[in-house]
Amino acid sequence: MKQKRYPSRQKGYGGSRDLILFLLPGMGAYAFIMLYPNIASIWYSLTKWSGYGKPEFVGLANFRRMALDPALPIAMGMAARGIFLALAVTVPLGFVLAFLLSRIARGGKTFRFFYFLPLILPGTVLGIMWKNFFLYKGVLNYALRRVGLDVLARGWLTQIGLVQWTVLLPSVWSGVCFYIIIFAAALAGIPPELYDAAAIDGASGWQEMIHITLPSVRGVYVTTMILALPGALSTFIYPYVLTEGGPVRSTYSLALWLFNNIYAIPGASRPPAIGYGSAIALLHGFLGIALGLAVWRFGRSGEISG
Amino acid sequence: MATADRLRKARKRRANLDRTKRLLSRALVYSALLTWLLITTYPFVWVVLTCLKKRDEYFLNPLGWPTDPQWWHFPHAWKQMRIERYFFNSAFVSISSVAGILLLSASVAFVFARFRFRFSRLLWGFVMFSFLLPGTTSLYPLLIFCQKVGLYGSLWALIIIYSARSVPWNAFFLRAYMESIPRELEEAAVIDGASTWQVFWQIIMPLSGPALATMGTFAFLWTWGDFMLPIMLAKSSELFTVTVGALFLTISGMGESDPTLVATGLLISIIPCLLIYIFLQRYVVKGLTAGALKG
Repeated sequence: MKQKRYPSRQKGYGGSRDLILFLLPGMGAYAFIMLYPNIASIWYSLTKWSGYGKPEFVGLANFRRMALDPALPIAMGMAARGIFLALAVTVPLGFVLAFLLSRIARGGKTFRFFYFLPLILPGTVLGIMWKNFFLYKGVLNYALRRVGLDVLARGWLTQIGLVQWTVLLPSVWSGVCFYIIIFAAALAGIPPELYDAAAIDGASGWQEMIHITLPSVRGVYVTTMILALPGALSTFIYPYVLTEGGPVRSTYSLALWLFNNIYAIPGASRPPAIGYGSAIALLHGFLGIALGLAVWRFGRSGEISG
Repeated sequence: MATADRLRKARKRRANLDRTKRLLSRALVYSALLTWLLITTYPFVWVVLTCLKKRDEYFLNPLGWPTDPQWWHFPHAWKQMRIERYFFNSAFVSISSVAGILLLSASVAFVFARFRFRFSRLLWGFVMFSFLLPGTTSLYPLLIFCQKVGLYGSLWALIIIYSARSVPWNAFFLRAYMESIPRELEEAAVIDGASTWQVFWQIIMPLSGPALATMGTFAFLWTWGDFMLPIMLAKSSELFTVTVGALFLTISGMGESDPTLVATGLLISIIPCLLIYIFLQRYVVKGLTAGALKG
């Protein structure tokens, strides 16, 4: 429908001067705070710079260095693990728990109240809580020894090969809670008539699941993928808090790798590498956008054909 | 009514499923949900159990109940560990940012919800596109920017950046809500000679209350929990927010830090989030759901 014109628009409502006054603060501030820095990042990525003095133009040297840096395959490995966990554990578990939640008659509100807790609290705080769980002298090993499973006690945060999975577990934990909300909302939106119709036709529980429940939440499922896949590249807070990327850079996610390049803890001996960090940031941004668009396209084409 | 009859029969058939089988499946469902509840609440239980323990007691039995509650941990964490400072920094940043975010976004949303003008579609497309821009690429340039304009070393830097950065997403959500507000009231006001300014403040803003509350609570929790920007822009520990302060608690001092005092600090630093969640749960959940379903 076409926008209705107000008869009195000329009289002062919606005049162009007013519109500019309303738009300018928000749009102007946004352009200044987001667009300008993103463009500046492109320039920094072509320079060598420690944050002091003038950036020195070096062409594509940062990108060449990045391609050869062992941290790149490490970061890609972390992203692959993150995507694997999201697809194989986080999203399915979230769906199953949301489904179970929709089945119970009593107590749903209480469960929901606690399931949301991880989502409202700062990641740093949750990370510190989990760090104390996984530390060598932490709660997990204590509990294992207590029940006689000493063999299973190990350096969850120090053993390379294991730590790469450990640092991702807290995101699985909070991710499941997140997807419970999402799927719970989607499940509540399915019209009950569909289930009534299935009941008349004598459909079994499995048939209802396959022919009604799953197709109904398909759109939401695609959305969760759009969130989960680029999210795997941006994993930051848990590896940062749990291991700071170590031991020996083994838990470097893309975001953590770039952060450690552009940020140096006050008093650190190593100066930040702004140019290099900016190059990694560009790669991060590019991969995130590409992955998001790809999943979006994939989800749409599936909808049309199927 | 044949259909209604068959529906009743089908429901009955299902209801008559073997009773034990039903009970069993219910027990399974509840135990699965309960298991997840325990996993979800574990870190909070840990904080509560740990914050009152003695250090030695914690290492002897991290899962036990505190035998001799160390209440002095709370004033100690608040004063000596300087949680007080971080807490007020965070409160100042979050509250001001919520005001800034809502003001900037609501005015932009209002224009796009109510008016069409030259380039309005193009501008809105620009807002939509910017959803895709990642936060990390702008981190360092923002630091330089703050240094140049003299905001480095002030909490206002965070407030201004948060307010500006959240415009697209909040404007997107608020616009959808404002479009659902009926126009009659506004038309009557305009005929009586109300200005754009008056319509915005006296009609649109009050009627957008629920949407503003949703976005406001969401913005508060998000700014309270953000970490990368506050640590980038913290010139000194005077400017730490609770998230940054909490991390430095764990690495401060030589050797191992004291987990019991850290737990106390963590508990204090999440109290505002818990209060908001308990009292504004409806809006928090709506905000989270909207956040996920925006695509």
